[in-house]
Amino acid sequence: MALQNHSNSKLPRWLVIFILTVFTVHYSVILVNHFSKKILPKRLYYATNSYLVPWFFQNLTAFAPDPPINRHVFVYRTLTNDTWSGWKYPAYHYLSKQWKNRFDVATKTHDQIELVGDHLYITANRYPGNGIYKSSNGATLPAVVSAKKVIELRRDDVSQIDSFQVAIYIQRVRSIDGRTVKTDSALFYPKFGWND
Amino acid sequence: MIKGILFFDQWQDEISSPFSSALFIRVLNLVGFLLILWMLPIADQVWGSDHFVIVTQSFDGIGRFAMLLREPFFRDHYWWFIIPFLFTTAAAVIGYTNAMLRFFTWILFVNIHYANFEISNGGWHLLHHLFLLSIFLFHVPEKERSKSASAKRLLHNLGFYFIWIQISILYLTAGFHKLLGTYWLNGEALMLTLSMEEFSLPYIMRLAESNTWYFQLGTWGSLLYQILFPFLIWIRRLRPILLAIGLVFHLSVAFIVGVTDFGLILVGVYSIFIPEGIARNWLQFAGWEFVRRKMAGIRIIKGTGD
Repeated sequence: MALQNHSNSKLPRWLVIFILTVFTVHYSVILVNHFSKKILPKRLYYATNSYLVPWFFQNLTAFAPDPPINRHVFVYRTLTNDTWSGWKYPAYHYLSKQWKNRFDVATKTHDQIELVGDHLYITANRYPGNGIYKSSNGATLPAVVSAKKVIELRRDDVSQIDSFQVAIYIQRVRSIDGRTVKTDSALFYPKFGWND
Repeated sequence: MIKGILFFDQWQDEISSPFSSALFIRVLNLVGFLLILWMLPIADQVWGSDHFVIVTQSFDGIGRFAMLLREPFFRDHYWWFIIPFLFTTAAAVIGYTNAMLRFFTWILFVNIHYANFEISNGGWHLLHHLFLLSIFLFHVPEKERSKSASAKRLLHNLGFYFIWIQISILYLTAGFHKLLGTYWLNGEALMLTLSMEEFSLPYIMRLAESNTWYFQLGTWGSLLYQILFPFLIWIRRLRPILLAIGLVFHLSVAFIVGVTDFGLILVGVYSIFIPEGIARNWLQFAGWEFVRRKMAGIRIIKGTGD
């Protein structure tokens, strides 16, 4: 039998147990990390993160516990020669490409612009009330800088722009009696000079 | 206990499913190669200095080497990561790979992945970990008898089945966390998802104005699939049915929900579940005979040998 014939080529038992332990402990830590976000004590999440982040980290909870039902859509307008443009929805250009062709890589540009909207929303909410209007460094906030780069991406010529304003169009989808109901609102940033 | 130890002793003698793992290495690398190739038109924006997402780097020590593409210097030279990655994955697809190259591929992918969190999803996270586990898929001639060969066989078999476990963890985590919400349990999750324009198509959004029986079936069906997969995948007789359902599920995610890369990555990684006989036939059909070599009575694909 193979087991007896090759006994001197076998690994020492302690080494086999060590290898098995490494795999098992590694994946046990991953499992504890996943399930300590919501179920196990939160301190386990932070403890396991210190081992897993960044090399072994994984985030597998998309569309959970509920699918995304709030959208924060980044919109902007620009002031050129004392005239405001209409509000622009820059992600739509990429979204419509994605609708036409699921293999269009525009989907990834779209995803990044959607995240700019999320960052603008999160940033604005760090300033209670109208705090964002009183902030002296608004134009240099990372979320606003990101938004400005998107404007540059969508505009061929930005040299004529005097000022710009960004906003988040907030869409919420709910279900009432088995039917979808969409409500919307908006959150406006103050006007910023293009060269601020 | 004794039985268990004998089982792992046997794993030092023979590689289980060598053709399945050889096919998996090729498919995994093909998926990685096509994913990055697909994104080349927007490479400057995703990995380079034309980024408009917030890029910060707060790691030091060994962690810093996973995040190099979040540093301005490396972003300016992101091709140092992309071109070697395309080469190593393309080489693996045609059979030229070994553990060192797979390790290198994993390091590159980790950096490419973390360069821009905004383009990531569960599929990218899964690839990240499957590239890691693929390092252990050593192929050793059956007749070779040494401690090193035994270690490689043991690692291969552990790597192989931990790939199954990793995929099971993906479903278990995603499925279990959905039980903590409201809309997956009351059957409205699919309707709500498909009413969002970023996860839908215009004509489907109109259908998703009310929760019909097929949206409810889709919601509960996908929830049940994710929860049961980690348990049923180990039952040989149920596996083909389970994987067929999974293909429909993931192709729907790709082409209806529009998370194309996630859906297709999952379809690709299902190759780990392809039985030996079929994997062998597919490898022959794909025309890799010219790089095959005879080893110990079975034919193993050149290039997966380490």
